[in-house]
Order: sequence, then structure tokens, then C-alpha cells
Amino acid sequence: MARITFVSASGDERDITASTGSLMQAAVLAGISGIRGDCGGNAACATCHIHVPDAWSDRVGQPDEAELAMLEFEDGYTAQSRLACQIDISEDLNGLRVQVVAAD
Amino acid sequence: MSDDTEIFNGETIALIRGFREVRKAARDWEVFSSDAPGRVPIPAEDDVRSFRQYPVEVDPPAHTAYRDLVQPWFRRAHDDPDYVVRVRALVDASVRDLVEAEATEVVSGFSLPLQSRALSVLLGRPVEEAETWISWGTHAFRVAGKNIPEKAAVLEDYLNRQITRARASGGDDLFGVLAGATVQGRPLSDDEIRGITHLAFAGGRDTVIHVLTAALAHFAAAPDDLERIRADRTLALSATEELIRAASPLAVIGRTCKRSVSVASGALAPGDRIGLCWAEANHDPAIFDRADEILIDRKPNPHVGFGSGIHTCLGAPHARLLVRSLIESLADRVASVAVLSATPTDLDGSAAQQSHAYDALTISVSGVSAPGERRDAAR
Repeated sequence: MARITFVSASGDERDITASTGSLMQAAVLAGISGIRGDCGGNAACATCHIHVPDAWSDRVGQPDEAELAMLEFEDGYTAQSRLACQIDISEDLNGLRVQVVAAD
Repeated sequence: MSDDTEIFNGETIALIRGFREVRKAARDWEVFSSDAPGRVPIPAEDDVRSFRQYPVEVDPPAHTAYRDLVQPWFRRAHDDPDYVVRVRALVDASVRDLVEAEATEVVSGFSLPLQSRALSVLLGRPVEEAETWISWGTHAFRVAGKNIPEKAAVLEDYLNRQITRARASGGDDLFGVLAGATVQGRPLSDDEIRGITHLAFAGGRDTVIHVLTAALAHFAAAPDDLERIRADRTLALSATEELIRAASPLAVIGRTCKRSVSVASGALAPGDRIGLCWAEANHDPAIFDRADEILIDRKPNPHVGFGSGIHTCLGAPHARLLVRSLIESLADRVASVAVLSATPTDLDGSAAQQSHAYDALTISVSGVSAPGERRDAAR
């Protein structure tokens, strides 16, 4: 089980707990603002764009080339960008705090 | 003509083809503008309509206001469980008909009617009205690549009548909602309602028909993929995205240069048109391994089948739902698909339209009437 904090574009914070699936799936289930998952988790829509703090990059991992190809022309793209649908939840992510990029 | 230009209905247009180049240009609306009524589509449509499509033929900041107005309506396919159920029921009925028939020409006998009936859910209109839309054929106003003014007038007349009705009596369909809507603090004009609804009719028509047909053709060519989806239903999601990538139903879209710019074909001046090739971007080997193959478990799949940037297809949630519903319904009801005859669309050698559409595709299917039991429909 991992507890993860989503910080919305407006600064609101929501904690969720989950043990399986992707970070996007857990966020959609919890109704996190700014996470939509329109493509169902295939990195084809970028509606689950988040920023992961540098301190967590080793545990969360880096985007592969295909994920990067989707991210790099999106609004809000930075070196901290990830698609939440490409991050599997594990206990290693307990305590992770991510910034949601989209406003709704 | 260089490799980086093509001629569309007599107009030579410079093309951007690579994935990263296409996405970069799609972001840069200040250089590659959409503020050109009838000239965002390729071939252009300014010979068959004088009004602007909204929001796709508008730049920011006005674009943002129109997009914010209509986006919630178009997102119901993702957000409204009842919408999902209704579309799935239409798909199931269509697939049942496929199974019952000995053979079906699916472009006009399956994909067109299904697209139109599903459009009734998107627009909030009675499904019976789809029979009118079906009668218009696979494209709202184009035949064999040529714009037909008489066909365009039929659609425009229909839209005008709907706008008149909605102005008089409102309603909870898209026309009624738009008749009561405001943008930038004022009511929408008839021209704006016509432009929004014209996009819904024209933009989501042949494109959706193309993908639905391509999906059936794929499962005929790769029967194991249907079995794989039956065994693992999560594959329906990745298969949806992959079929849209491979089909790339809108192969190319136009922009108008706002200032001088240098591209692969040479220098372009302000006012020149340029094409962003979604289809070629979706087959860029630098991004997609085995780009010319359909891999239903491709993930991640950063395709641009719905475009990219601020003008990403408004109807994408609806199209995704429809394709996914078809895949799931086929997995539930169809054991195998066989192609009896096929007439691929003549693309006239166009690299910018490398996607593989059909003018006609006749198939027969074998149904699964109960788990583990197969029924040969061709009886």
C-alpha cells in the first residue's frame, strides 16, 4: 500500500492510497482534478501529466523514448514531467508527492 | 514538386511529415495559424462553405473561449456512464446484424450507419434522425476527393433548420444548448452555431467510418488478435489506440503561415498553406518500432491520430468509445471475420494520405452465440 499526494494546479492537496495499477488509474478512481486518463493508460493523450520531484526520480523512474515523445510538446513540460499512466504503484512510492499539470 | 510538397485539388502544399516536427508545428499557432475559414482542411473547403468551423478554425485567445464552451459536451463520452451504455448498445446491435447476415459491405452497410447512430448520442438527437444522416453517404460533401457544392448545401440546409428550431424551442440537444449559450459575454450567433455543429458532422464522419472499417479489416487479417482480446480484455484499450494510430483517419491538416518561415520544401511566405501530416507522424520509425505493423499491445503509444496541441480532436472521447466498444463487442460476439472482397481507396500515390481506407469492404463473420460455442453465420 502506498500513500501518494496529488497537488492540483490550484494548489489543493489530496492524499490517496493504492496498492496496484497505475498512478493514473488510482487518481481517476479518486477523482483527482486534472487527471483524466482519456486514452485508458496508453500514453496517447497526456491527460495525466504530472511533475515528479527530482528526489523521487530514481524510485519513480525516467520516461522512455515513446513517453518522452508524447510529453515533450505538452504545455508544462519540464525535466520532471511524467505521464501518471506509465507509473506503476508499489510500496516504493509511499510518501510520493506529485504536482498535477492540467487545471481540470 | 519536391518530396515535401503535394498537390491537393490543384493546390501545391508544403508538408511537415516527421513526428517531432509535426508536433512542434502543431504547438506553434502563432506561426502556423488556424485562422482561415475553410482552409484548415486539406483539400480546402472554402469552395463549399463561407462560414468558419469553430473552434478548429480560430486561434487563441478566441479559440480558448470556444473550446472551453463546447469541450464539456464532447467529454460526455468519457464522463457520462449512461452515454457509454447507449453507444455500446448501438454497437452491439450493429454487430449482431453483422453476425446474422451472410455477408455485409461494411463501409456503407455497417460503419456509416453505426457512425451516424452513435452521432445521435453525441448530439443528443433522436436515433431515428440518423437515417437522414446515413442518406448523405460516407462524406458530408465530398465524393472521390472532390467537394460537391450540392451535397454541402444539403448539410448546411439541415443545420440551418436545426438552428431555427433550437432558437424557437430550445431543447437539450447540442443545437438547443448552443442556442442558449454565451461566449465572451454574448450569445452565440447563428454563424457560430453553424460552425460548431458543421464540425461535429463533417469532422467525425468519414474519419470514424474509416477507423471502424479498418478495425474489421484488421481482425480479418489477424484473427489471433481477437482471441487475445477475448482472453485479456484490457487489450481492448491498447488495441483502440493502435488501430487509430495505424488508420490515422485524418491524414493531414492545414495551417496558414503568419510570417515567413523555412521548412524542408523551402521558404514559405505569410499566407502560404502548409500541411501537418498526422498519418506520416504516426508511422515515423524514430518513434514507433515496427511502425507499419498493427501491434494491439503497443504501449506506450504516443500517436497523433487525434491531432496534437490546442486543436486536438474534440470528438476524440466519442471516437475512442466507439472503437473500443466495437472491439469489445466483436470479442463478445464474433469468432472470426473473413474478407470476401475489398476495394481500397485510391490514394493517387499520396504519401500524405498513406492511411489505408476502403471504398468498399465486404465481409462475413462467424458468431459466438455462447461462451465456447461458435455459430457459422454464413448458413
